Amino acid sequence: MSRLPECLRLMARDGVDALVLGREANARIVADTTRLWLAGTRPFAPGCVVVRTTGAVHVLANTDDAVPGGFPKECLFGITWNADKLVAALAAMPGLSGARRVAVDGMTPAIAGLLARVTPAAQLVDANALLSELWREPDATALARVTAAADVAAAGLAAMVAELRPGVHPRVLRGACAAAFAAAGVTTPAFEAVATPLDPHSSTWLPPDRPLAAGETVVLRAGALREGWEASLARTYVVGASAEVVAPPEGWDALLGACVAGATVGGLRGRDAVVYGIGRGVEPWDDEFVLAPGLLCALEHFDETSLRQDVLCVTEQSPTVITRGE
Amino acid sequence: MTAPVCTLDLARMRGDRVAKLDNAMDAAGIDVLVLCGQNNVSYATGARVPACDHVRASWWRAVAVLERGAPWPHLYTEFPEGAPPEMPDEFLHRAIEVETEEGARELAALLPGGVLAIDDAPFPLWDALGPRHPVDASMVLAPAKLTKTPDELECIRQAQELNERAMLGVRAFAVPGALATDCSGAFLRAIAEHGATANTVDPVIQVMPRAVADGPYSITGEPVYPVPTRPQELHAGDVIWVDTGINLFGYASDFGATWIVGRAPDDRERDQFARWRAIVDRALARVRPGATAADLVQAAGLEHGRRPWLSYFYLAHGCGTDSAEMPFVGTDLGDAFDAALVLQPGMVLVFEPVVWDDGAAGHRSEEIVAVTDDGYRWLSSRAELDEAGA
Repeated sequence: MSRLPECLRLMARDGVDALVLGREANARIVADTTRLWLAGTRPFAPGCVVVRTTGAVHVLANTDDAVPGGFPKECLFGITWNADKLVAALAAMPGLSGARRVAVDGMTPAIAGLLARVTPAAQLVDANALLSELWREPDATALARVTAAADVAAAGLAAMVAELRPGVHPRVLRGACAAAFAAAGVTTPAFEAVATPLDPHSSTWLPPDRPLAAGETVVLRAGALREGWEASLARTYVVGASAEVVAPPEGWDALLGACVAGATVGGLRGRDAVVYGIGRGVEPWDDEFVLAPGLLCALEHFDETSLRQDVLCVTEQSPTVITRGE
Repeated sequence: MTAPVCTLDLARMRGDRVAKLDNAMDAAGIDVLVLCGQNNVSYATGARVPACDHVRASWWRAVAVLERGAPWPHLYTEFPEGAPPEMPDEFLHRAIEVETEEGARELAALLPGGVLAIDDAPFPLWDALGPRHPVDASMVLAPAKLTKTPDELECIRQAQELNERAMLGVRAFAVPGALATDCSGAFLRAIAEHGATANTVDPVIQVMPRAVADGPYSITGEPVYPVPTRPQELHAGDVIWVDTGINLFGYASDFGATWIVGRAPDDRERDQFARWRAIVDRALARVRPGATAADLVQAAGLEHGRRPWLSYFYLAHGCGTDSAEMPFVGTDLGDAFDAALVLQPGMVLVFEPVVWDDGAAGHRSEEIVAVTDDGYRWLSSRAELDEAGA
């Protein structure tokens, strides 16, 4: 479900008159968009606009296929290469031109000039603080949606494991994962699957362009974006005739147990954990962020022998591990 | 199969690109170029990063900083193993998290003085650079990228060949009873096995309506394209427009075709393809240095009294580290824009007109050429009428 009502409430509290969003995950949160998936960053441009005075959300799309049923067609604005036409489309959004405070999730010099034409009196502010609060708003559907994505991610990882043998090229495993996702009806990843040696001098995110050798310790990562909801996991294996899973890194269980309501993200990071929110994509948290029941997060940890990553649901007690995998 | 443009030399290509950026900075009076867009960072440095969903990619972004006259850009990255092997150590740095105020201030403090251009900024970085009054990096990137070196053209050709080879195999999956996503899965597996650096877009396997009124709703009254692929069952007689893109060594490819499921094309579909062929051939006949985009638009002519392409896209677009980049031909930027765009050797043109007979669907394919000194050369195979369903 879109978190538009919560978004409007936060905008009112913060005195934000309009929200101009370029990032796809943010458009998913406020408008449940389902636009074509593209890999990587893209330059900031208005792709989703929320106007507080009207409560309307406007979506850049040539069709209502990109938005949920019942979305008002007059709130779609069309794809254009022409700055004047984009200015006209924005100026036609009721209530936008009078905005005094506009929160954005990025900026370019060209778009700054263009927004100045549409909202000449507006002060631009960072939308991240507001979005960060929006991410932590309770969402009754999030657990089920992320769990469904986690099942797809786990199927992808299993497909990689099935083909992990001496001499296999890491990109073949990437393809096996993508094919398994597609067999589950999912053609969009959170990231392209990775198979790479566990190497303290590398990020463990970019595989080498060579076959994997028997006896190598290899990290496998799979992340799915299912209907706009993300989940991912990582496991470590030793390459052999039959791949052998490596036990979690030292301290994993204790770290897992520390992911409870009241814990700070900074405290977990101080124990060498990688922690971030999971939902309509990555939902980055700062060190001061305090875990609360119902929040969904990725937890990653590694040592010299093993790397592991799971998605968790935070509770008052020990967290529920959502990602299923050996 | 297309003929190689040259023997690919990636290090030479990267060096040539830095030189082009430096020349463009000189011409535009830019002293410092800050790049945060991953395709631009890839252009300036050759650095690889994982292919990720948008926000993940944003938070893990690498940043490139090029000072006018410097031999290399500085690269700040979480993924040092993705840096090109010839990059000197003093230009390779740990990542700076420019999505945060602290990281943005750190980067801002490192930047040399002078006129600063930036392509795209997380808001904290935009805020931190405010006193520098940054100008748009397109002043540098557009002229540098507009024409390609032989190595760049060869990258695009190889990327396209890989994409085409994958799609040739995928065609066998587009049969009655299959799901559209079966084709996606076969494609994503094939490109990985064939050696693609990454996938760049959710493969589009779209069953077209016979008429626009059959939906989905279109705000322009034209066919809606593309929409994301869903696990939709394919039926005999379906007309499918496919569009796929991959990354090879940082360069994009762009494959587009029309497939007819479970039967041979009928007379109307043969005619639609012939008309599509004629549109591209008329435009191609005008492709040479000195011709304008307006010449190509004029040569393409009209179909049913209107321009034979989707008004929200183009008759043709360029292709490079982005799958659609300058030059653009026939966009809503207008006639004056097209008249001012003069073709030069090294420009890439991806032609993608659309023939649409409302009530009987239509044809869309794509073909890629590079402008040469006296005409053009092929970077893609030529489009064919799809007979595989017969």
